[in-house]
Amino acid sequence: MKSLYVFTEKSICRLSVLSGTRPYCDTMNEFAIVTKDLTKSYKDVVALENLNLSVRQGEIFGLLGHNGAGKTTTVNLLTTLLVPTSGTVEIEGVDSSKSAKDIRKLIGYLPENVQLYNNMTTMENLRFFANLSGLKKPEARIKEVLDYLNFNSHYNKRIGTFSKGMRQRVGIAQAILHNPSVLFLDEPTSGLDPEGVRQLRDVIIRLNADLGVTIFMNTHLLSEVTKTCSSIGILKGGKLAYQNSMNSTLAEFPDQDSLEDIYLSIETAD
Amino acid sequence: MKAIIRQELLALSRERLPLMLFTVFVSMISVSSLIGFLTKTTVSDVWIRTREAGLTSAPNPFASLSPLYYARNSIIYIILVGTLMAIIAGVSSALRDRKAATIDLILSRPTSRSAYIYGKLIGITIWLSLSLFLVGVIAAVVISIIFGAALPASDYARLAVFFLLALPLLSGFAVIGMFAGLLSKRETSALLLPISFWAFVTFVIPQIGTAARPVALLNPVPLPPTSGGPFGALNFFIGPFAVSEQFKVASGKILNDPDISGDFSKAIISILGFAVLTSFLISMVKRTSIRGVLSE
Repeated sequence: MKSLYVFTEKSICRLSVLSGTRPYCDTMNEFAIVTKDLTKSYKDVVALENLNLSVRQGEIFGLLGHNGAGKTTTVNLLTTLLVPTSGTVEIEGVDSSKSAKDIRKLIGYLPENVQLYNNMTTMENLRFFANLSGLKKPEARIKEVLDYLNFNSHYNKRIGTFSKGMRQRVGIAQAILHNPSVLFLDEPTSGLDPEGVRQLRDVIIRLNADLGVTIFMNTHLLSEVTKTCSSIGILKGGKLAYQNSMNSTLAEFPDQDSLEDIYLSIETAD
Repeated sequence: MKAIIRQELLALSRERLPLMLFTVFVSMISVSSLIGFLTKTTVSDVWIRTREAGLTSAPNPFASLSPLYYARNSIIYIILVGTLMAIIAGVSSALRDRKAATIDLILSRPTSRSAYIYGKLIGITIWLSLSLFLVGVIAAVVISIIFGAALPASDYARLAVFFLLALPLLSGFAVIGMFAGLLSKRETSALLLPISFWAFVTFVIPQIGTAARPVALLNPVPLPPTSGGPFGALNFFIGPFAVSEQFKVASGKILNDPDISGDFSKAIISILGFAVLTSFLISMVKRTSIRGVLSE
């Protein structure tokens, strides 16, 4: 398996925790993401209400919910794209209300339906985002990341010629170029064909396993959550209706045959 | 900010609409000197025939004219084509990231709102500078060829100042385009709003202050402002906002055009003020507005 060679102190630390060589790192928070009473309102509409969420380091967390449940609003608040009406967001212990810029250095983000610049090549697109993240001469790093994603042969091709799945790969590449601690993926498999879904799932699992990156993903595909996530949360009408690890969830609902049944029983409960 | 400037230059060099207008702009400036030359040749021929027929003893009207006279038509092409090119560059720049859905990728990185806006603005200004430099060189070469010799150094300097003066005018209109692109919810309104503003500034305001002679607005020579009466009073207040007319005044003076009247310093202040004011306006665009979603 190919691996990324550029590690930050934090990612080395995280790897050592995951591999069991060190039980805990002093420089590391137990939780990568913590929200306290996070609320977002648009005029009279409350999109998200008092969200109290915590995601541990190195987890793959899946946020589930119907359309309009507040999933994208949550990701936008966590990535500092939106300012909360009230409540707080902490990423790796950094408070977004005090230092949003520092949070932006720690995170990678892949929005839903990312298009990128069609009249530019993979390299030109990635160089731009790498420079924005503060990487000075990013060419070697870009090649390394594309190699990791098995995408090096498309280095000098224009994005306009790519399929949705290929664009999504470039999207993942831009999100991990700067070696983020936390990766946010908004409906990452949306619009992909089954082969594209499988490839992207493999990439997500590898990223988490190889680098210990904490991954927060929004999705409504329960099959993806079952195969990918180590813990889940369910949003219902802008409120967090449920949060637990995947194993505990399955143990908690022994009578349900699948995650879909569990999800529906939580969704329909008052 | 460097990354945004570089990206802006790369994008402008590849996008179809700004490139098409750039080609039209370069072509028009190139032929404008030729049009000046043909005007001189035609009028001089008529003058020679009239003198030979003994119908006039007046001197050739072109005898005392500066070779910079041939650049006169460039003024109107900068106002009509150059400003439109700048508006399109500004609109394209603002819409690009929203259409490509990359705006969230940019704003989720450690890049400030001002670095984003001013990076784009600097990129567009560099692109406009390069365009003006190119048309300036073309104009200088064509005029020298028509003149049959190298121009005096002072004439080249005047030509350079003329094209340099076009930069704040074009930058101001590019900012108006960016402003509309950043705030509009629709692509059509992002294009229509700045073009309406341009038409208002170029054609409506001057008419109010010059007793409504619309055809004359397409001439490189500005209309003499109305003095006295309600139009005169109105012109005193709104005249400086007619930046295109002010550009005609300042450019005409720089190019030694004998037909130009008007206050040179007032014209310069008006053009520079336009550039500064628009730059200030765009600095007030909020981060949330930049993220606004296009509905088409």
